Amino acid sequence: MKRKNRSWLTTLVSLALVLTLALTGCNSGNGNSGASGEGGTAGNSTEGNAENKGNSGGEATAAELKGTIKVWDWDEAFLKKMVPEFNKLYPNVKVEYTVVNNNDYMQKLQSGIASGSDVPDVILGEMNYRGQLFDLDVLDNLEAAPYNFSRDQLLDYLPSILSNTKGELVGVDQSITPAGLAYRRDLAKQYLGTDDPAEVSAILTDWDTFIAKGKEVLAASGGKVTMFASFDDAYRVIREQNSKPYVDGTTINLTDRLQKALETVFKMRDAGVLGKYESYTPGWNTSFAKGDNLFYPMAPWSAKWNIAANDKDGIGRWGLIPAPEGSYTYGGTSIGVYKGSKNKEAAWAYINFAYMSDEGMAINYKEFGNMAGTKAFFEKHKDWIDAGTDYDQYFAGQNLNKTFVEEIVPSVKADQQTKYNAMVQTAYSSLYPLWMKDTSITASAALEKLKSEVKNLAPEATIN
Amino acid sequence: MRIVKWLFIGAITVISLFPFYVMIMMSTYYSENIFKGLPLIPSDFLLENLRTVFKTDFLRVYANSLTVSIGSVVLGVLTSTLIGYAVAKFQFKLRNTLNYFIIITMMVPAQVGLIGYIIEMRHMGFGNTLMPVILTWSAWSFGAFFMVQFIRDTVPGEILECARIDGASEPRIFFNIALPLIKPGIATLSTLVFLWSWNNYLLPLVTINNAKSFTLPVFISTLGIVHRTDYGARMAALAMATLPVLIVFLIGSRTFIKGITAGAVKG
Repeated sequence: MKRKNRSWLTTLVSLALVLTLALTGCNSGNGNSGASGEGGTAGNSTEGNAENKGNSGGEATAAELKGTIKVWDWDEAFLKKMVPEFNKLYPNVKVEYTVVNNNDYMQKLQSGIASGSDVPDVILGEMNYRGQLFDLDVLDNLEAAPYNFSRDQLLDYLPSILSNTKGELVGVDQSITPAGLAYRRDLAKQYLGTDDPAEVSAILTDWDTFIAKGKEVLAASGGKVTMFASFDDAYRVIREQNSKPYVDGTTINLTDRLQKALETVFKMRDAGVLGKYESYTPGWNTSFAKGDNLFYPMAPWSAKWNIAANDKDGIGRWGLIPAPEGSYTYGGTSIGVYKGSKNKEAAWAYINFAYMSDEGMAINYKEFGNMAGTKAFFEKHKDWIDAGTDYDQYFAGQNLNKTFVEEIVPSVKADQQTKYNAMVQTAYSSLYPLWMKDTSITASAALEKLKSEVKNLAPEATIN
Repeated sequence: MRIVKWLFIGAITVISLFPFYVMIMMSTYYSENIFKGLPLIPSDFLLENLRTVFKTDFLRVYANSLTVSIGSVVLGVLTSTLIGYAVAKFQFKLRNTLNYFIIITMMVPAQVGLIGYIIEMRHMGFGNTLMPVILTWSAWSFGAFFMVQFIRDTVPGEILECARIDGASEPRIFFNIALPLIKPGIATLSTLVFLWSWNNYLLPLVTINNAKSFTLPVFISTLGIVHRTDYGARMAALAMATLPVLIVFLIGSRTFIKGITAGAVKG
């Protein structure tokens, strides 16, 4: 009897295991069956796109469009404003939205896809997980029908960060994120001798000068004021400045991609010009108002979310310059359409309206400060940019968006995102707190450690 | 000696209550001011934080969480007790196998079965409702295991035999004789289910896509997000969310401790 019981047990356990495997197995395979048509014919046709929506022809089709679309977004204020505006033009499209924390977005999406339950029609890809999302292969190619969008409409640096490894354009930009450096005017005046953006950026021609100046600032302030608040801030800037494709199939060329960036940041660490904060921690947030750091990375969204949120008394206290040695991208979110969506036209109409059309951008730009990633936006709405925004007051009236568009956008470079980018970032995030504290670790030792960590996360990859 | 004892107990109490105190103090601060120093004195931002919380659907969310937790307690404790009673006190075919099966399922992390569970729920038509978050307690291996052990140790077979000889029906034996004996076990289990379902994050996160059905933990995580985390508002919401748990624990703690130690010493 005992023996019999045991064999029963083994059968049960193995059955359960097989079932589990089968379930997970068949889910990871889906999505590949979708057509991967090349958007070859897309470039020449712009009909149906945002620019035509304001015309009388667009109105009729807009009212005819019917259905329900699901949107998962983290910005409830944006949805509450934008959805009713969208419905004025598209009365028969119902937008059901769910507020999802961006840290949980990927997990929720993956379980939705794997279990075949709710998946949104409009999917957001925040930079932290964008590579992972694109490699899931669940987003539609926007250059194919029914979207017929063209990458030529986007700013030149954008298609590479909005395309998957197959080269398909799978998203448009929520708001462009070219970045420079924000600086404290009071500290700049005191330690660099000027608070004028043009003069500050003329002093800091390259990173070596930046470090040399940093040492002077450190000495003059009695060791109190550093150039960047965090090791991570410096790394983010310099890593993205040296942007170039480095993932080729399963080969990850880490040395080629990160060596220079790490060496520069380690040089800064050794010179003592980096603060002791880990970025995006409460301490780091507080440092904006505290005034023990000169520079912070800054993209257009940072004015609201970093500067105004963390330094509410900081009117007139800040300035913006392009980073030494060129611009970079900082954060950002792509907006794409789910391959399995039953209402692709409606989903695209929403994206078009909210993120690219004249009517939508009038709200999106003026109320939320988002700038569309299209060339047309900057050609048509020069007057909006010239008018400035409310956040300019934090920067002593400096026209932020004009600075971004004219001085920072021209030299931006950006990487294509794959799941390996996300893994490299995960590995780095777990390692850098030690690197900033333990000065006996050299840049080359750090790079080797990073490689072995990435190897643990991606055993199938070759890492150089 | 007595003074030392009370001083010691006092110190422990202060240490364990301190985090709660800090949480309540934090809820009175403007988010960005919280981390400038240790917030020990109340600030003036409580009303603002409460406004942020109540501007949303906080009461509905609170009701959702209560529904889920109470539903889970009733369902989880009922099934666990029935399983425990059956396995501990009845002889039937495959009884041992069932017992092993319960222990084995305890070893499988919940995350492994998650996708399968969501598929199951979708096919039962419970997508986007509170049901998946409650029903998960109906097959709760830890509860069943706990009850098997507890009933085995606290309900003497002889009493059940006597009742049977006196002509009591099986349901009557269970409800009138076994249940009163295992009250401490039920109280312990209820406290546990309540705490765990109240704090459950992963399951509601992946199964509920409708803001109307959000539970407290998921809701709190969406307060003041993107690049700014509104810690002040979150702390205010958390303080309110912790209250029922504290009350439940205070009420249940006496029996809770009895339940944990029951069966530890064999009489």
